[in-house]
Amino acid sequence: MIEKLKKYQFLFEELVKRDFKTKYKRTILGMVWSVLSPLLTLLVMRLVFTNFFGATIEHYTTYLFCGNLVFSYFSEATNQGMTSLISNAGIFTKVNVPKYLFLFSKNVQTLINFGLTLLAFFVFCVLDNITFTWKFICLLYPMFCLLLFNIGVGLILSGLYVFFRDIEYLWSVFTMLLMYISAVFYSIDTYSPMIQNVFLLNPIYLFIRYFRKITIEATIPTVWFHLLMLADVVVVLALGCWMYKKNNTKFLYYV
Amino acid sequence: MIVYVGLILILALYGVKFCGNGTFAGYLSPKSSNAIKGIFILLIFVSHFSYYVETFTAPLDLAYVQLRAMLGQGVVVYFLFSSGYGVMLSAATKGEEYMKGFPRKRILATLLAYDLAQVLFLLMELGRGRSFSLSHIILTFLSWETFGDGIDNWYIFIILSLYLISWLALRGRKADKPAAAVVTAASFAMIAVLACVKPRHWFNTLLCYSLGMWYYLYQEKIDEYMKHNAHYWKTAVVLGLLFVFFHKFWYLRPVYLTTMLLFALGVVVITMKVQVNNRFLIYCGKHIQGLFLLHRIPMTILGDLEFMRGQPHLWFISSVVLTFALEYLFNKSLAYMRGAPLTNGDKSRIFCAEAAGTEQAEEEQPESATPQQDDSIEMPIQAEAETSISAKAADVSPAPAVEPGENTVLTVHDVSIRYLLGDFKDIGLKEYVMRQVKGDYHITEFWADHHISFSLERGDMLGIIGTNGAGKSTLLKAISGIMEPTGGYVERKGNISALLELASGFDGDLTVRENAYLRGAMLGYTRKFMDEKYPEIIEFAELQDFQDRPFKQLSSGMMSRLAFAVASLVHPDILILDEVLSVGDGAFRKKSEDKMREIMGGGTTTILVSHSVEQVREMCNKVLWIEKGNQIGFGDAETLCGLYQQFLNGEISLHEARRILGTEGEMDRPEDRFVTKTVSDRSVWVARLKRYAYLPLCFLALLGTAGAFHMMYGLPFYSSITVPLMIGWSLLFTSIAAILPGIAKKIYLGLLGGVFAVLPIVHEVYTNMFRKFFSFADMAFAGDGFAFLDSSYLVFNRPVLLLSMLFLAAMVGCILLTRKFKLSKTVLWAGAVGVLAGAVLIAGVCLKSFRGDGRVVWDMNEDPTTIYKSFTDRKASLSLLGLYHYTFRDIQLALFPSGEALSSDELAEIDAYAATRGHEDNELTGALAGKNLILVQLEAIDTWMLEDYMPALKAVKEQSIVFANHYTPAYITAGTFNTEFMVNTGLMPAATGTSTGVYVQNAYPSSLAHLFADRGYTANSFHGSEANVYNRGAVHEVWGYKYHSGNDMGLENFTMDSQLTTAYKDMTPSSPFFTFIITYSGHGPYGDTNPTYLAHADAAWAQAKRTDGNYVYAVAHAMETDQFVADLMRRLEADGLLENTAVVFYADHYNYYMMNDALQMDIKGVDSMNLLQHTDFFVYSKDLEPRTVEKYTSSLDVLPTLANLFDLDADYAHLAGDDAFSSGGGYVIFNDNTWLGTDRDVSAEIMRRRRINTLLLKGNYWREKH
Repeated sequence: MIEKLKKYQFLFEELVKRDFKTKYKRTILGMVWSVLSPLLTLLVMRLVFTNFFGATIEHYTTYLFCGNLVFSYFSEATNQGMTSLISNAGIFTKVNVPKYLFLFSKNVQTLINFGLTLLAFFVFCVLDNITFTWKFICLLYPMFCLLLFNIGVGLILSGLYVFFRDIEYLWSVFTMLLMYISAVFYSIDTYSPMIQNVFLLNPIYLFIRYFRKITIEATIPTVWFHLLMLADVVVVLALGCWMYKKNNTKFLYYV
Repeated sequence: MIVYVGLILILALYGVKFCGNGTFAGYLSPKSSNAIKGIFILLIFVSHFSYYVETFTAPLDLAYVQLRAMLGQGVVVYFLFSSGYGVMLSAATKGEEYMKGFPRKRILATLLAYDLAQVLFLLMELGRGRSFSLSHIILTFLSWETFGDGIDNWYIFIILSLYLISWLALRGRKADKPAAAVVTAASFAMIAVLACVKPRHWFNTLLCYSLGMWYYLYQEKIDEYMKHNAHYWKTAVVLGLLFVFFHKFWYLRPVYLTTMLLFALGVVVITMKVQVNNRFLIYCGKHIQGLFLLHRIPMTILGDLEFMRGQPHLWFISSVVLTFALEYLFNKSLAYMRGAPLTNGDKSRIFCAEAAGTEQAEEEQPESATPQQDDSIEMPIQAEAETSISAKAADVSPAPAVEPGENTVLTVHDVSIRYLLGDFKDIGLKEYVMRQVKGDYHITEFWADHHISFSLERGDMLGIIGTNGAGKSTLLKAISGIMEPTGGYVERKGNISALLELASGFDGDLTVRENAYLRGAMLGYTRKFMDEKYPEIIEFAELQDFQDRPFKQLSSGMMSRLAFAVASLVHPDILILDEVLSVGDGAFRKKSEDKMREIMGGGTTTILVSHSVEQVREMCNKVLWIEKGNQIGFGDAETLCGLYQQFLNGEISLHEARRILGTEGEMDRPEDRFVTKTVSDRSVWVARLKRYAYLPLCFLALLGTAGAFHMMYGLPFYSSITVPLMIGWSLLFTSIAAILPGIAKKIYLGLLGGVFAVLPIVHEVYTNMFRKFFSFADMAFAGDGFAFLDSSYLVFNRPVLLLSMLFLAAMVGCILLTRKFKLSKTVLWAGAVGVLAGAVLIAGVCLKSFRGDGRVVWDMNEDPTTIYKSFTDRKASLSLLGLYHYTFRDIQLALFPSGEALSSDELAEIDAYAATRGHEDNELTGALAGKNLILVQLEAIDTWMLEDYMPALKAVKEQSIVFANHYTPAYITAGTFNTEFMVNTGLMPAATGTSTGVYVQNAYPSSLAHLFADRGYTANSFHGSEANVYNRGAVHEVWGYKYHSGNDMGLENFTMDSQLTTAYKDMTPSSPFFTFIITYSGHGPYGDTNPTYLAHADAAWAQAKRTDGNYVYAVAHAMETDQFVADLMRRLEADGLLENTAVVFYADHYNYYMMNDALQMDIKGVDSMNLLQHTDFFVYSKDLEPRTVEKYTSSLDVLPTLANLFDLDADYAHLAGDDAFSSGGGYVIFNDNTWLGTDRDVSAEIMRRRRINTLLLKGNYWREKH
């Protein structure tokens, strides 16, 4: 595995470079967009929803940003990941390279975007009077999990996308719905405990909640919470890997 | 102790052998693993022994205790691991035969050995003066319990269960992943269940067994990986670090589980390099079964000797020696019992299957890797089916053989490539689904290449020719590894560089430089290499001026030039060029041809596809001609090019060309390239539906039944507990059905249907009879219940019968729907996942919802933890848990009551409680001291019956101390016995959770009869029923009575109370006496032929104020009892005994035989079940001033009140009730923890009383105390 990684390291780097260059080619602001677009979303949400929820939720800006940060990363990574196979069809039908590299490179790119947004997030935290504690280190855990989760979802989506192009539309509808059920801009405290438990089934909500726990409540979630996140990641990742392994030789016929 | 551990380690060092690089010490072979097991069994020996030696003084010993704590149950995980490994190995290598013998050779033999050892333990413990209950003995022989001191049986129990599961999972199928998955899932389920039932045991180690199974499945890969020394050490270090890390947190259950798995792996990893070749240890390992089972016997026996206690070393050493001797005899006798002398090898087989497996494997298969051979036999079948053919499969497919020579770098063997046309890629998803549903989904296979075979040697240059669409490019894709051939295989030696359709794969937005790097990266170059060669590339491609221009601005010729320049840089072993040389202008073409020659000169094998016959003829030494996917010819360039040219010119036909080339016979018609197949039709779907229809049916039936049952009784659903539990159990039950093979499935479904069709009916009948749901705890009273069972009780107020019938029908349907077929992998996987999901759901709910402290607040019955843990309120429990989990919990508590010795904490708790209570003398203390007592428990005499229809009793009551607010709450179903128990012992009966055996096994020194006996009274009890009903004879004896049944008294009809005075003489022996009489006549069932009724029918009809329901019957029965009272009082008066005899009456329960609570409430003018339980209690004595006591009293208060009146030495501090004349108490506690009688919130007090009461009963407090 490590040898294989070494072997394709150069290609991987080149792919990441290419993805970056093609993405920001001919944009004036370049990479600033990747920070700007979540910020704009945040701004709109802040303006629209403050009257509805702002009064009852403490640190509402940070609360919103946590949701936006995680969700926009997830949404971008999966949407980009979905097309990673198709858009590189020209390459893997001609050269024998591991196909997951394309997905990984897209994920690296979105991860860097996420990192930039994260910096903006910390700035906003300061503005919102959030005290920074050592517990912020724990944020590495949800980030790592989210990365793997995105890769897992990407594996599934990109594979499916090869077979069914309709997935593109289905996924966009699904992500929109997902945003509404991920408590990005509202709080679930008013729901019954039963409903609150249902929310735990949503992995994205788990990630968002983790961020909020650390930043706003300054508490580390329970071990079970960690394990639940990990379980989601493992399931999705395993499913994705299995799909890739199974269909690895079939993609070729459908692009 | 640590000295001994050290000794063992030193012993292990003797004969230790390290293995060098890349070799393994035959680890996991029987010899090696036996030695390791030898070490562990000795460690166990030391560990267990140290529990007998209680004092640890030497610092070294303390160190040992710490070491032991650190290792935990680690000492057995290796046993489990190697068992799992061995079972898998044996199943894989020996197949059917092994599994057939499995139940007998493994499961039964292990149980037999265990039982034999337990017989020895039983003899030993009996000799030491211990006694065991029957259930304990039975459970012991099933390995659930043990007679010994320790709890070693848990290991035997799990290994037996695991064997059983393995057998079920592996029976009749290959030792593959689904089977291992089933065992793993079942292991998880077992952990979940066992963790609830026997929390103190170490069941979480049992996953190591599955780990062993998985290890076997992946052993080859692991071995391959571990061969590298670096890998080995890396793994070892990572394992070590992980172990240390997890060890910190292993109080968490999942982490503990992980630690054990890591430990097992760690041992395996160590044994890879370290081999212990010590004959003593190997001996120990071989005889591990006997040693493990017997080692406690010598320890215990020697421990009983005084002088041994002082000499721990002597004790230890002689224990070891004795154990070995005992083991020898044990083995011999086991062999004798099985009727055949066994070799050493056989002995170890029984206990740890892996030994047998590996040995066998070694004997029969000197070289491993047999499973692979098995696989390859099955492959041809797949090949014929033309589904997917893996590269290896080609070994057996019929094809022209290609003899690979030494120099061969590329072998293409019978390669066929198929495209699918008309599947969903072409017709769209909607159409795809539609056709699948309609069953006319068909696809067309297009064979792009058909049976192509050739091979190339180093330095060859192959030209592939053929008209458009011949399949050339597709073939190249297969050769370069981009595509997997549908049939046949491609073998390559060395690296390959492919240039296919040059211009594609570049990104138009990037610059030339960036694209060059990207392409280089794709071809597997390094950055350094590219940095070096980049100038060369640009120069060769003649693109120096365009380096930083976007790629899309280049002409197609330029693009090709760059592509060629990049690709031809290195000297790959195989270079593939597709139409490359035909691009570019003349000059560049010349240049590239030169480059090609240069590369070929370096020994590169090249494949060139070109439409230019000239070019091919010029450059290539070999040619492959393909036409319409078929190989026309392969060989010399000149011949083939000539023929091809002629063919192109129309001079010869393809047929003629083939004849010349000698490939004539293989001529396929062009249309053969297209094969249309129907992938699915309706019948496939219908068959599939039929095959699995029983699963959803089963699931829905289970879920529906539980839900409907819940709703029928108007039980509320706890959304986050009841519903998930119902779903979890339904899923679990269904998934088990899915993975059971053949006939077992049918039996299982039948059982499931039977049990859960009958249970609702039982509940219904039960609720109508006793106002309570059924519980297995009531089985102790089954004798009584059946004795009175009458058709009049079989009332169905709810459509439960219909529900049961529906469920049964659904289950029968399931059985009929199951088809005989081999369990497929998918089903096994799905089933395993289902079992796992169900178990996790159930365990998750239990862990999450029932882990509170049991809050003590007024509405505590709303608190799930309290309901679940106490499990006394059946309605609340059923409502909370749903039908299935209620049944599970009920069985768990009924079969495995928590009857254990009280811990010191619990004793302290009892003492603390007792210290808060006591008894102070009051005005009535000793008011009746020295008098005789006749205590009468009136069967089903309700207040209104006494008031209106029992003149004799009413007359007595008017001259008595009357407790006006007396209640008889029922804690257990058997109402009469319930009250009898409370009055006689002053304790609440064991509702559940505590064995009903407490009634006869416990000591009750503070029972009424004992208290009177202490004052010199003779105590007798009288009741019509036989001694075996409610086990009354034995129970009364424990309480201190001599019991007189109807037969003993010589009654003609024991149901008629008027006959009781036949035994008047026995009831009034010489003073002082205490006589306890339980009347009978009030008992149901009512009916027109009942002699009691017939005796009073006329009077009853004449007097009865109402005639509805069973009113008149009740009146008649009451009159019979009153006749007895009148007779008794008259005779006492006549004998002059009334002067010094007190008579006390109380009712055992309200008259529930009326079978109509609404009517009863109407008669009594009350509106709740609690108030309905109002009954009579009064004390008559000639010299006592009649009075009315308003204070609330319950049956629990009878004993302390009487004890006060007669000045008996009652243990007031521990009793659940209070003296009615003292300051304490004053309230009635009902079954659901509600109360009556005081405005004060006494819930905390009630909970405490109940808890202490339970402790006293389950711990057999008084016997332990005295």
